[in-house]
Amino acid sequence: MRLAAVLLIAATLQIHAEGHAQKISLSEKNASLQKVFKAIQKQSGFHFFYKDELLSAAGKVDIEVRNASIEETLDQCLRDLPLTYSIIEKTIIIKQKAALPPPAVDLAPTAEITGVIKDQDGRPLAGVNIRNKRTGKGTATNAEGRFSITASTGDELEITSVGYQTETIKVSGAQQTIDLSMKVSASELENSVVIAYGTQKKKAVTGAVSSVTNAEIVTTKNENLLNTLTGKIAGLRVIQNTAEPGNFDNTFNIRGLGNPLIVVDGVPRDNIMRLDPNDIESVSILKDASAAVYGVRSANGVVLVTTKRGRKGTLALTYSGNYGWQIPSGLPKPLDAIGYMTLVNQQKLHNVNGGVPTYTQNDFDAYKNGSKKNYDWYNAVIAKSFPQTQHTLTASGGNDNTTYFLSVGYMYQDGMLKSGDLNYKRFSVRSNITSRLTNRITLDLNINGILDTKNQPNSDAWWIIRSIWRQNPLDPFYANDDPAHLFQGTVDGTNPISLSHSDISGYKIYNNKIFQSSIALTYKLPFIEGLNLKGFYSYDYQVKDNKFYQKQFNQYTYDQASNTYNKSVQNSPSSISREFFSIPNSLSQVSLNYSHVFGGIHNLDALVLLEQSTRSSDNFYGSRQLSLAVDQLLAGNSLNQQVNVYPNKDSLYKITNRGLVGRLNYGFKSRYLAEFSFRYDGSSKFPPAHRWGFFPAASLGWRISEEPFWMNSNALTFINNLKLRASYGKLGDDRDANYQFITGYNYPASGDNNRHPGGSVFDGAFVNALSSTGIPNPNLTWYTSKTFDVGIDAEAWKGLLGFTVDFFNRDRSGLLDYRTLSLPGVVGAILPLENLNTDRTQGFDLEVNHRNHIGKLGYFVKVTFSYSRTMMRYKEQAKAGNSYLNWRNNLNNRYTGIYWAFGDGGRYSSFNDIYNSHVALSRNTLPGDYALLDWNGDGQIDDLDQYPYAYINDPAAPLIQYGITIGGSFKGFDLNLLFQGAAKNQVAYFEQLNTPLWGSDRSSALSQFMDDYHPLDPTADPYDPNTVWVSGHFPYTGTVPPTNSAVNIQNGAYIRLKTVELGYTIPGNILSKIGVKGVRIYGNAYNLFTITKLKYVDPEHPSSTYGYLYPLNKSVSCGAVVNF
Amino acid sequence: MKIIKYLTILFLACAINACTKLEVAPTNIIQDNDVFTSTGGIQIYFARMYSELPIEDFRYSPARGLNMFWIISPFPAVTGEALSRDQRGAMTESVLYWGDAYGLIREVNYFLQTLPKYVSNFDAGDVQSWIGEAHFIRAFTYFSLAKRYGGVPIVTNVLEYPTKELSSLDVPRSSEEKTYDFIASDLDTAIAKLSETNQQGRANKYAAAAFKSRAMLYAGSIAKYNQVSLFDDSHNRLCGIPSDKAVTYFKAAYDAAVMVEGHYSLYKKAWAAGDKEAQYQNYVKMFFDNESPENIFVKQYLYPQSVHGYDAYNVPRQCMGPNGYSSEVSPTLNFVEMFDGLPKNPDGTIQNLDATGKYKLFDNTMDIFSNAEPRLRATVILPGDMFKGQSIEIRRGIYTGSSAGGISPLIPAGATIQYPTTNLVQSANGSQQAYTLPDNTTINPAGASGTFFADETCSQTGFSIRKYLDESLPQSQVKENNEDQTWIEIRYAEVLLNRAEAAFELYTAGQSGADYLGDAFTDINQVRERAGADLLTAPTDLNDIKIIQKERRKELGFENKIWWDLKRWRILDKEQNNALYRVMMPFMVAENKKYFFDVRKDEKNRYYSFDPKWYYEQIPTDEINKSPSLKQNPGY
Repeated sequence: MRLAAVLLIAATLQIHAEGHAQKISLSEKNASLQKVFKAIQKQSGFHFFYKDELLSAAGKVDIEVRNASIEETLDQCLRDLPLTYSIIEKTIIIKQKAALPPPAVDLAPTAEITGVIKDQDGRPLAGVNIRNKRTGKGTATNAEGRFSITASTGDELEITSVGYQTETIKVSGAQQTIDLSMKVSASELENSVVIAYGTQKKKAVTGAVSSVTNAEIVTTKNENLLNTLTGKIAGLRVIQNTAEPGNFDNTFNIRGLGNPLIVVDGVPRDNIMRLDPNDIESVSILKDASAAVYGVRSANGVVLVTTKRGRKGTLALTYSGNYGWQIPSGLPKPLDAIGYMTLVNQQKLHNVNGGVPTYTQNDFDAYKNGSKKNYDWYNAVIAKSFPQTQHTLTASGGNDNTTYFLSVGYMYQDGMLKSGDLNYKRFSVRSNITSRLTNRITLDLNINGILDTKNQPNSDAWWIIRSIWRQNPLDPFYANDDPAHLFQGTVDGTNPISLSHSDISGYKIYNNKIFQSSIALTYKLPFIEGLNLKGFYSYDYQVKDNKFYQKQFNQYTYDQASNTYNKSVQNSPSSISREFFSIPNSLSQVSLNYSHVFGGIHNLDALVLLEQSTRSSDNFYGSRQLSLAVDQLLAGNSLNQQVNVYPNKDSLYKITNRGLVGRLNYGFKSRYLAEFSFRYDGSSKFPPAHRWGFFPAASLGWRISEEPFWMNSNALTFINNLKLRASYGKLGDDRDANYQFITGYNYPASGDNNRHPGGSVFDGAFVNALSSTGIPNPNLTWYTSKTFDVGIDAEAWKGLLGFTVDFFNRDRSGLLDYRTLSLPGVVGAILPLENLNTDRTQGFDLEVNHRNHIGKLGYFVKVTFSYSRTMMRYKEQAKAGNSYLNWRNNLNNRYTGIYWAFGDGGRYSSFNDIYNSHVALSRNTLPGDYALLDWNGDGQIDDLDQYPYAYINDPAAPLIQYGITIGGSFKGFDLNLLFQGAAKNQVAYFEQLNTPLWGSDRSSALSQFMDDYHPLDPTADPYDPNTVWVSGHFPYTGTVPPTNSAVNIQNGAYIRLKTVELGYTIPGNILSKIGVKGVRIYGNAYNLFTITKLKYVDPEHPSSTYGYLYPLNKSVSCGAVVNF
Repeated sequence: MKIIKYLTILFLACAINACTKLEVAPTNIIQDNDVFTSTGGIQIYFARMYSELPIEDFRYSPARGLNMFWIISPFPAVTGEALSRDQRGAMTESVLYWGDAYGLIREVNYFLQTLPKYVSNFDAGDVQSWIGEAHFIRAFTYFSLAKRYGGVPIVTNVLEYPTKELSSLDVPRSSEEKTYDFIASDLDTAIAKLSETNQQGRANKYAAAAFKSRAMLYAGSIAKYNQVSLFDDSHNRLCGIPSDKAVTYFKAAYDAAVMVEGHYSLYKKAWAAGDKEAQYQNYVKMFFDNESPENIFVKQYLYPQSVHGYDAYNVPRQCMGPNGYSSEVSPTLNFVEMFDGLPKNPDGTIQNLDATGKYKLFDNTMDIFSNAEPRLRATVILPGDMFKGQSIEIRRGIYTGSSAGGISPLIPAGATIQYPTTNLVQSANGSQQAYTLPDNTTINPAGASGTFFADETCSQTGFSIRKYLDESLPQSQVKENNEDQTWIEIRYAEVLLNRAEAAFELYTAGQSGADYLGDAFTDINQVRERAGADLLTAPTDLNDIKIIQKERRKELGFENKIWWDLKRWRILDKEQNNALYRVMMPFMVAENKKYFFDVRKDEKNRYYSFDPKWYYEQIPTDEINKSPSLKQNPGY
């Protein structure tokens, strides 16, 4: 390893030596000319010829040049001195300037020019660079947009800022101040993009890299950073599964490829959801082979998150905060008493042998006239709306040597329970400091701390929702309506009021304490300009400290005959459980970076990096039954107390990685671009012989628009940038591997009170068992992925229109799978994972930008769109018994997620329909029942009639995702709209979302099931052919759509207004008196409306957990950003 | 400034030099060296094997399989011993036991192959006993396969993969006879090597012998009663055993049973001759005494690591725990009528009508059972009997008509129709509307434990299950996954019944060598005496195998053994031939608060038809697909 590093470094040096006489980079302050000339001589190979006294008389100089020619360097060096030069061959002769004629007027006085730089909307711009072209001296604006610089009349000031058009202003005689509004530069070509282990100008990027910056991120207000990215980056797919406070449950991938590697400030870290959006500078995603430098963890792409750093200038304090209200998005309500009794009677009558309704007209009358009470469990437990708030205070500033970015954040999100016992809060602090310790050594120190807590009742939210939906509306909240006696529900004995109150049934608290730190020292090597040596070390530590309190309480039933309450003791005995996880991660890197332009046309960037990391996790848990009614472990008794660890691979592990990264970028006249990179990566998860892998990647770019023929063609120049890109590389993924090359046992064996226990009881004592890890696989290795990407970047009319499209193909081989399906059961072993399967994912993503100004109105539109689909190329599977099954079960060369189902043949609208049906029907068929398609036409409906009907992936993974962002500003107002959508996605729901009165007669049903086929006269015999029917969306209660059928599948496509934000910036002059430099107030809404064919539930909400997951939310909020 | 430079260089040097090793042992995996070097390690290995042993206990049902929770459609509701709200007719197992069996067999084989490498760590006697114990576990597992499928592939060593060809793993089925012979031979090894005592929850020498009597009895029954044949291409009989082998197996069963004698005995700690109450209490306690001399092989549970939910599923409705389960098993009248001490009609059915065809009236519901066999009370909760200090109130409804001149049956004999609504007050479910009796007292129409007409979370037959219910468990603890009473897999009563049946079969086959009939007579009477049932007076009373079969059904009822017995006797298809089981519904007469019982066929019309092909179960189709040489059983 070390040898390899040295060799690589040597190779890099070699490259430098060859490029000797090209360009000069120098940075000296207050240096003697002798010293400067010596340096120039060293870099350029030119020799100086001068008289010593000439130089000592000239005094000291400041010089700052980068990749400059010899002439440029000398011009700058001598610009304020009475000296000049001439070059003969390789010799430079320094001589006295000819005496200048005295100026006609007094030499223009050098004056202090001051000014304020603002953006088009009048907001001060900080960090704008102002440079006096003549003197070369520069400065930057502070947070108020103010600057001051020395200039003489006639000097030209160049004013530049990333994202704005560069301005040049000539200083006129009397001018003392310059106030300027900068125009936004539509062109993004000069913007920097964060890439793996560095940054690159967008115009030079050859890989498929997309990114967003802070301004775009913060338009969406959400507790979860991932949700603020939805729809904004082409190829990044984010599906929010639930809005439950503290859950952060998202499906999240790049191009549908699986879990990506997340790198925050150069370190693989997985806590992206919990970051404060106000701290984020940018998010980039590496979609193609450009991720290969992350080696064995790169196959699914990489998300790079970069946090903000300080800017030079006086302290800039920014407060941003908002307060909002949430409501559930798509949470069905259960039936009222009348509805419930109606459906129960329907179900009872739905009996071809004759049914008897349970409820009589008297029962209905009693609820209609109010003599009996209907109980609305939904409103008893779920709040009408529930608040959410977020506050961040950031400080940024610094001087020439040190800059800092500090941030303190607070977030609180309430859950939907009326009890208020489900909520989440988070504190975070961040300190990012950059300091130039010496001229050549720079220190970067990042520290981030996050504390968060999720509180919830002892029952999980999904269980409470399940209970609300099932609760019988005839059952009272309290036995005999006496609030001292919580009712013992007749469905599972639950009462959602008890479940949702921590003070009744106990609580769960989930605490996270996350500490993340990194230190980097960058050393500009003295002997070769452009060569940096960097050392980087990061240490992260996460603690999860959870506490679960199960509290005993009573529920009651009331016996009218004896006027007594019967007690049912719930949650007995009270108990406390604690869990503790300790998760340290460390990473260190050493890198050499070289960057140089040779002869003004050959751009070269090279990187060599050594990296090693250790990730580990340890844990234990304990629980005790309580002797005292005190929610502390100390109050426990020795009965049944437990202490153990979670031995699963995600909770108890130590993994080490080492890697060597190399990358070489070459650009010729910014026209032909090439990049080659590799990573030689090793992982402790694999046997020694299969531990190391080589992951090379290469990409090419051709900026046609830089070709002379293009630039000289009037017809084409409106396209100011056209770049073709292609990349190819090999990537890997080791996520699923877990020491399968070792013969051994898991101990203690995992066990489950619901299924197989984790051991046996001998002589009255429990003995933990071991379980074999199965047959070892000595050849286990990661799967490899070969990714090809071709893309076009285009920009026209100087950025008015931007366009990027990428097509990709990813072939994975060696996907881990078990050979279970092929291995006879008599072997009796858990097979190891083997590198068996192959698949192919193909797709495209595109992004279109339009940015313009019409008078005072500025606006932009950004469209992102991505499509991808995966096909299994080879899937290990057993041979089936017959050719039909072989065909049907086959997954090879088929798309994944194909769902076999009965086709929809409509509905039987009448008994005539039923009698005339050409398929055999059971005698209990009724009007309104689903007519399944007789796909094979054999006159009967059976399994053979199922065919590949739909695409369903769970968790949901729509094939198409898109986003449309529209933003605009006019005078002080700004508006931002984000429409986001998905298509080609089907969902299927089960349990209560598909079956009314699911589980038992006492279970209620969701209110939508009232929209069903039913006889006009509810007491009529449904099997009487003369019965008059009313049609509806659902069939008569008792008919349930077959699980695998078109009628149980709904189209999950949607488009929604994900975000709308309207802001107003209060003019600065109003506020300056109170020390406020700028205020922007805004109103924001999240998920305001959704257009979808999916009924009743939110289209993003997954059908897993039977659709009981806490729903997504809609929220409105208002807030302010204040600059001090 | 120089110092910073040096610190930087030092930092860089550290970053390069602190080389992270890639040789990291997994922190969550242990290896043979950790296991086979201490008796604790061996115990841990056995803990695994026993936890997988296919014992059909509290956590088993044919619909859900082994080691499961939410035991609905329990075994007794498939045999006719009981009805259950979740069981609508006859069935065979829907979870097929195959892959898990061979998983356990592999663990045994691995143990037998690996232990010899580590013997130096242990006492030689221990090693022998462990080897015997492993053979017992393997035999137990193969028997679980044989009783389901007939002949199965016999694997006696660890099958290697991927070092061996896939095709070498395609092991064909052995004949049913060879499978049973293999079981016998493994058990002989177990009997020879196992020590006489072992931890509770683990097998000893006599457990192996007792188990052998069960397995061989099964083999003998197949040889004698089975009609199904299936041969493979080499003329191995995969299903069925030649009938001439019956005697051999019965003899093996008999001999094995005899081996247990003297080492275990019937539980009679609380028993007293002639004292029905004591006999009842004795029979109840037998299932809760971990020191019972009758327990030969048990499976223990312990809260919270290893638990079941037997009480939660099965307590009478009025004892329902906090999560709302109850009454999953309601014993049928057909089962109850097998017992002694009930008023019976000449055809053996219970006598609920007087000579004029009107209902007999009783002061309370227990009166009709006043002479019932103690074993019945200990097995079934009769309406009005005491449980957990309360009278279990089972009542179908209140009869509001006149009782003058007697009450005629509510529905015609044998009818399957619903009860009329005139003159009857009933309850749809547990939230009852009180009814005011003529004497102005208020009462719920149905009993606190049912029976409700629109809700099946109650007794559905007039009875509730008693056996194995833990009377000491507080109601707040009657929860799923909260119970931990011991399951008795083999008790001495079964050994006696095995012995009696084997002996009687040997006697009917004309075997000499012992007084087989006398032996069977003594065995049966031992069981009957303890049960408080009527004794056989002389060996000649034992004139039909059905007497022994019935005794077995009573003694081992609700212990998940009867389905297999009915199958091996090949009588289940005859018993469940479009059968409706019978129930007995108590009604209160409003006028005088007396009770009558209506005997009828199951109100819910649950017809039972056992498909004869189920005598051999279906081998999982995907196993057939993976092993071309596996032959499927007939009918699938």
